[in-house]
Amino acid sequence: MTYPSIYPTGTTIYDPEKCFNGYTVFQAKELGALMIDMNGGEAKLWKGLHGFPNKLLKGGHIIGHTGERSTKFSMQDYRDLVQVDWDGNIVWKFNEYEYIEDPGEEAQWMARAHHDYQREDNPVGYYVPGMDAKASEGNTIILGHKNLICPEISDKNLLDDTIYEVSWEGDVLWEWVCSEHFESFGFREDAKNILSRDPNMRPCGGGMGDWMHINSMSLLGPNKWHDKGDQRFHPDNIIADGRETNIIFIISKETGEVVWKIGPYYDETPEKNLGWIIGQHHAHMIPRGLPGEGNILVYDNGGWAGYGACNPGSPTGAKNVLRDYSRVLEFDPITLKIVWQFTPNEAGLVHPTDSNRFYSPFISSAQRLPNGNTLITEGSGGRIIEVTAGHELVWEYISPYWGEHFKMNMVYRAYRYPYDYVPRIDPPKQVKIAPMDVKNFRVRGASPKGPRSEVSIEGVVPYQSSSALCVISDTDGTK
Amino acid sequence: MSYQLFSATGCMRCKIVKIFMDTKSIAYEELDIKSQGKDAFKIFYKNNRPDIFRGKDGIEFPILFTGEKIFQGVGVIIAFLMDKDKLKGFVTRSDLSHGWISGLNLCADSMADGKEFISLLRFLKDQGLMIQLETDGRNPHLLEIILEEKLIHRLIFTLRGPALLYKNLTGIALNEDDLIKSLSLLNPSFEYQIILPVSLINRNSKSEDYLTVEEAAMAAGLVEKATKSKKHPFFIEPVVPSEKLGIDPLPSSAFFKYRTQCRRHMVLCEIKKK
Repeated sequence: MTYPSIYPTGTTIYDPEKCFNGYTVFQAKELGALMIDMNGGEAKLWKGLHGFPNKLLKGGHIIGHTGERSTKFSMQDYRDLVQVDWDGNIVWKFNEYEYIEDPGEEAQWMARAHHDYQREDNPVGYYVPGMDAKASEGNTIILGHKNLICPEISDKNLLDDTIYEVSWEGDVLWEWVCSEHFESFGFREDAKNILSRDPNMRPCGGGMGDWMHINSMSLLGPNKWHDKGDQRFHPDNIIADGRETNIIFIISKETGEVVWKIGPYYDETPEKNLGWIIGQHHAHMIPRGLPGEGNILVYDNGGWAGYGACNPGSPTGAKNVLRDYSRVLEFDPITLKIVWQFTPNEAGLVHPTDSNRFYSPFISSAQRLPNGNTLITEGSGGRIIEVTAGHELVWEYISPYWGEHFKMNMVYRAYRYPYDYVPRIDPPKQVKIAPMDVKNFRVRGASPKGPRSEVSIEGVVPYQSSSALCVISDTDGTK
Repeated sequence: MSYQLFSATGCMRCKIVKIFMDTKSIAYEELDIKSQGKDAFKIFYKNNRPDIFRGKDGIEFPILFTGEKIFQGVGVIIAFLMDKDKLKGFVTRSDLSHGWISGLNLCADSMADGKEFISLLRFLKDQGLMIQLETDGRNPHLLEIILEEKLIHRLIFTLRGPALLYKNLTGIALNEDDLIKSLSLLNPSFEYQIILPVSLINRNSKSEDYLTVEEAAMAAGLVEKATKSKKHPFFIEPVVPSEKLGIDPLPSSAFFKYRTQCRRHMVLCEIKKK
């Protein structure tokens, strides 16, 4: 979060020998769906195609949206979900989820899609060897919105989350409505209290409570837990996470019941193993065939989220847990033990005094790659990195696209795909970019490092190796 | 014929029945179950328990006893007193309370003039009750009068399916013109819902199966045609068949396809929750 005013964009670090080389696809802010190569070359732009997120299909098709509903009337409602070919033609479209008549706007069907969707045959929407999503047929599961009143939660208009499945022909085949399972989430009374008074009210459309704010939804796919007979992890079951509640949960596709969950509280066994997950994104099960398969991978944003007791940081009990750095966690869904993580510590930052340099309080994601690396979108600053299992930073890219309306270069979620996903173009050249020595990096006009005059003072002693700062840090007590 | 009327102190519906009987000079013995009629009702209830409806709020009053038959609830009693059997089937027990009355319908059969039915509605409305009327498209001439006179507060339009299936679905055929005429009377000046039950159809007297997605869509299309609008509160209602038929209910996921197809004509279509 401590950004200088001037810094490079594009690819800044790249080690071809250690990366899972391929194309990276993301929604460039207010530009379109952008596909870059490892050196940051912009191999393809589907201009104006919205993406919440964009996902590439083998063969060169891309999925996205033609637009967003006016934010005067709702929030994060995308009109449709479309599949676009390499030449920009829409080859599949779904929008018939709800008929919307907003004042002054054209009445129309909308998918009310947001944050995630999955096409049949691939559980997570990113590259999994042998699990390419169908490109010319198949069902699609979509995360959607629905406005309703649920007295068990609040008397206010809720912007509820739904998950629905549509056929290639556009028939809705299945639907799950989050508020119908409110009691399954295990909120304490103090949380229910603030939820009823302020279910994360947003001003659009006269006010609506985005109480759960599900921001990822994927299938479990075949996995070792189900192979061993644990029905909670049936391959058809769906994992989702609620940013506002700090809950990650799995629902049964067959019954709709919540069959596994962690949160909303992390002060009890076994959640204590994980630390307090806050405002998380992109919780999913690592698919079969990838290193860590069967574990849960999540970008634990930190920031502000949750409902509960009042405290000085949350006078009302809304968003009552806070943390100013992020973590990427991979954990075992049975024991809840962390098996891999990338936190400020693994990033080489002094904790907690410098931890906020790895921090995105919203959006963001993590993708497990076939070589064991992890592609991390640290979304708020538009930074996408690839780190090895040993936490080495082997690729870094900063989006150069700032929005005109929303003046951030944020990236919601990036995905890496192998070169052969796009047969119409030749794989690009891969040019190593060694990390630049920033100590000597100067912009034009700036003086070089080093004093023009130097003097030594008799009697001074060397600096302490243990830095007892105004606040305690993990260097305290070290030699 | 001498009537006994079991009433309860403070019961507005009992009062409405008494007003009707007094106006028509119908003699009756009132037995208030909270005062002088308490013991009499205990005995009456003990002897007639299977014939007396008891809902979640207790026994519905008033109850009229003719010496032979028992009539319960304001609508049913007045319908009987107005014209014995003529309104049979058109007036049934109300399951609404707090100033509302239901159980009044135009579905039982065709009614040539329907004077008594209209009179009943007028009387109930004059007594301050809010009326929920049910129709399945029959008797459009009566529905027209009822709506013109603003006699009702809510209309439940049970659309059984396309008109050609009414005979199989209800045992009584319905002319499509009548169905279209009834549908065409729907307008936003009063509260209404269209409900399409997905129920079993006896197609050839040997086997039964459910109304199909295509038939549901055809029915929804008829609403669009009749009203020239795609926007009506339109609900698909899953119907669970009687266990003795041995036919499995449709899985809940099956109704999404009905909703999708009906939405092509009725964009606000939803699946009715239990």
